[in-house]
Amino acid sequence: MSHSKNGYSRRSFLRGLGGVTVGLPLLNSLGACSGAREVGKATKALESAPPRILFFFSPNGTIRESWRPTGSETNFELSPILSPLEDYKEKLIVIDGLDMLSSQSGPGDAHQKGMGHILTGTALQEGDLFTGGNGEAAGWGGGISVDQRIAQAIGADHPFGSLEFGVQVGSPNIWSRMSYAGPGQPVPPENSPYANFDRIFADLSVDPATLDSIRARRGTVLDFVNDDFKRLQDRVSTADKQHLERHATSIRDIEQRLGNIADIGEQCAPPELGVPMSLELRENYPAIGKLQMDLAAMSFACNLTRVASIQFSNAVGNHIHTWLGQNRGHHDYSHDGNSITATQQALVEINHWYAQQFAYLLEKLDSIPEGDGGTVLDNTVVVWVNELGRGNSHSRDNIPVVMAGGAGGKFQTGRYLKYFSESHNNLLISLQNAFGIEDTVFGDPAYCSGALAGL
Amino acid sequence: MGKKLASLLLAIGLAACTGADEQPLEDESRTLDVGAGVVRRLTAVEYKNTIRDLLGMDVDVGAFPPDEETFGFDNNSSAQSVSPLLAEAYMNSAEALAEEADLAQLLPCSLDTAEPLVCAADFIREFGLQVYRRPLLDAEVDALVGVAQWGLDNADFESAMSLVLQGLLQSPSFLYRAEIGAEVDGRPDLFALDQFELASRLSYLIWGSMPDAELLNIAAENRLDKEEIAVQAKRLLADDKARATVAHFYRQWLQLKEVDHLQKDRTIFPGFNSNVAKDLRVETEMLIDHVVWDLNTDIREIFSTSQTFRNGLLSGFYGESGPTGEEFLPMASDPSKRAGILSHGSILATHAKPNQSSPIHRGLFVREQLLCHIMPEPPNDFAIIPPELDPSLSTRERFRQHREDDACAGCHAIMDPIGFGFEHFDGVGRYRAEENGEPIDASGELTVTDVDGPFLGAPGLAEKLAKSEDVQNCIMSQAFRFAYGRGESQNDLQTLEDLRIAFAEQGGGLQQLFVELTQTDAFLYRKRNDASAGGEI
Repeated sequence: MSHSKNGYSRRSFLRGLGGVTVGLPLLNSLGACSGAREVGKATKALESAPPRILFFFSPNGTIRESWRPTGSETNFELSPILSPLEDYKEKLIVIDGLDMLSSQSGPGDAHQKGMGHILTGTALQEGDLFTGGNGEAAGWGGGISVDQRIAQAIGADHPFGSLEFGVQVGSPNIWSRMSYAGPGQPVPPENSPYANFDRIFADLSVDPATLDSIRARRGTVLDFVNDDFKRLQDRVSTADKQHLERHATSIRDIEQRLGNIADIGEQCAPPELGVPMSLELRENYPAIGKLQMDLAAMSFACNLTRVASIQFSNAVGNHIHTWLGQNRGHHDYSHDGNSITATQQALVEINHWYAQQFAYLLEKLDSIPEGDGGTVLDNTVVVWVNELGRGNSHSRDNIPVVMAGGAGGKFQTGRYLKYFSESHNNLLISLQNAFGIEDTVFGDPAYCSGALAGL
Repeated sequence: MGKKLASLLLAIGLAACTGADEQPLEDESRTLDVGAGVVRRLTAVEYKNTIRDLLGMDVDVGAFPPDEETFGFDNNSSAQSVSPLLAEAYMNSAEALAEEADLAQLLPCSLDTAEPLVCAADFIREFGLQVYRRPLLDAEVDALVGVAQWGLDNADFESAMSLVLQGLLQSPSFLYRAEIGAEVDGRPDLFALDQFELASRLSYLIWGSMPDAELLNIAAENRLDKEEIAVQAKRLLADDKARATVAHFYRQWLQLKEVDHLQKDRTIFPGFNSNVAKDLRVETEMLIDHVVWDLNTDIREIFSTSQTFRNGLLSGFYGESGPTGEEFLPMASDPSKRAGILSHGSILATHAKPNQSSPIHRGLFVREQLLCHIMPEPPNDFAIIPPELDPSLSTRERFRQHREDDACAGCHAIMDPIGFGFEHFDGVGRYRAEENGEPIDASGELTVTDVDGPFLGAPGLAEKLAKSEDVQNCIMSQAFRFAYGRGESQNDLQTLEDLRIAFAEQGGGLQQLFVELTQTDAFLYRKRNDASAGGEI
């Protein structure tokens, strides 16, 4: 159990909310607490540190003039926006000049396309499921996203194929979904650090005998559920059968996890979440972000997953950054013309703030030693993406991309790479290649010319 | 059994229609057809309601990942793919419910029965009928008895039955409304739904929950023909559960939940806070409920009526005379200033900027939600460069620049002139006579509708919308999407035409519309769906 110093227990808090509380593993009621395994004092270190990938999203484009570093590939100065990353400069790859060319085709408004293309490199589905800001109509994302593709390839040996962390990502629709398990299959982020904590770390705090008992019961029930899916799928039409299949797959994933006892890292220590706060209040946006980053970093250190994403807000996100002394929403600012200097400054400040959050994440990952003198950051590649290049023109050219960590030597860091109108699909190809997926295309082949040269 | 039964139903359906009303089924001009959809999963709201009716328990579905929104509705089947997160939430919920359920009360025997497997099988058949909303197949019963057997071997009877309950609550036959039906003679592409499938469609449409005992009995007795469906629809509408469903519909249609999360610039709108926001939503909901349930009249009355409901907090917020005290009371607003829900702070504040009004967003709301227009799509390489804004100009003058720039004018010309009509209302919906010292010009114009022409202010717009057939048809389309969990398609033209006529002839009320939604081909049939539809793998 994760008792904080003042004896507060998250789980007892949640159980006190009244009604039937869901989303919790029912460990308490099964008498699970005696002899709980001491997390953080695992006896066994990781055999070898596996490479991992973590995506970080912030919305509404950037101000390129204040984002671009100056200098050469290996001798460069960080920009005003990226200055918070100074301490990690040697572990960065700043990439300028990528265009989201795939988003020049297919349906959708600019923000929809940017969000649905950034990790898929694929046209949105045709359809009129959503009406965009300018009335354009589009369906859901049209293909698998690169994080999910990598999770399929390397995630099976871990309790979680991938984990998606959200920070007030807003309404569940195309503007707030960048991960897709396949065409039209958005993967939702979990906005609650508390729910994430319970989901990710609960099993680690239970004694092995109780865990075995829970697993046996769950296994029996899930076997039945799995068979019941098969019985039903045999009777319904093809489209229904396919529709049910994703659910059935998730059931089998849970079953598989029951048998997958994590080989937890020696640095594994689930974070303390502190006093519960409202997840709705906009003022809590920064604090929720930090908790989600803590959880993501520790899910890597505990070897519970190798693929994750952290999504701040959503495409068109309109949080008012009151903590920066601002009184207009991010998206509202992003529409102003270039000559309004106060607005440009506000947007630089917002993006600078996101760079600070990115720096916090890097600090977390870099503070956990791993392997032979390295850190979790060294064995991870963190990729910061945005759905737009620039907010007021809604351009998806020159999208800002910052990578950090080298995924265990897969990428050479400490570099600033300048491209000219290079397709962002090629970056996605490079990322999948780094995780052993040898394909030379990702997403729409029309926008692929191979792995990003020079990365 | 299913096939025979459904063919019988089709025959009854045909007979019931002969000579009845204005659209007999055998009319040669009629085309029996429906659009394709996929199997519908219970939404979080439906899950909560169903658990309430099945077990008498209250589930907090706040821990479920939210249902994806399509067309603004949470129940579109194409978007109901299940993520690992949701599958886990179902598991955790089933475990929690089974743990807390009163098994002694649910079981047909005592917990120390001498014949636990007999009792288990009885329970599975009887209680399972409610969970699956149809009789269980023998193979399903056997599989669940197998779970009970495992529990008996490894623990005790109570644990065993708890596991059975967990299995039932995670079964796809509980979580989904699978529909099979029977092939229509001569139409291999169409299936008539069977009795239990119709019972579920009916109860989820009107109650957002499982069928009750009466409905399941009628289905078991093969009595659910088209006429009986209408009778039952009216019975269900008379229950309070229907009010919640109708409210769930109009909250989504009119985007009313947005107001709860609005962030406004506190220096400009110090009077706006979360308590006011909540009460603004209540004002709108009370008015719509009044029109639907008390007056039971044409739903477009919600636009034109001067009736509203306010409390002291709202009287103070609006700065208008009205009720004092906490309780919401009926009152009439000044008909020269305000009319219906389009003059409510809930909608006006939602469709505005944090620091000012927004003719674009208000115009867009009317276009999209009330007229069901989809704005034209600009070319793919179109870069939208907004004009520089000059804060010294009035809102109307500033937005005029949108229309002078050729690149923007096309779209803004059909949004802004509607939105300008709302200029008497600031960014949170308070009335203003002037802006920056200049009197407000609230003249607006409707184009590309059946009620085209100039109007003055929100009351002028409301008067036009309340008479508009386009608006009536749009409400019908919105209800179609909500009721059937999918968008309209070419194959639904007959259903839409039938609905359009019936909705208008029945007086345009929302209660009548919900009854008529149970009388269509789209309700009674399903399309063979062997192709991979949008949203599928």
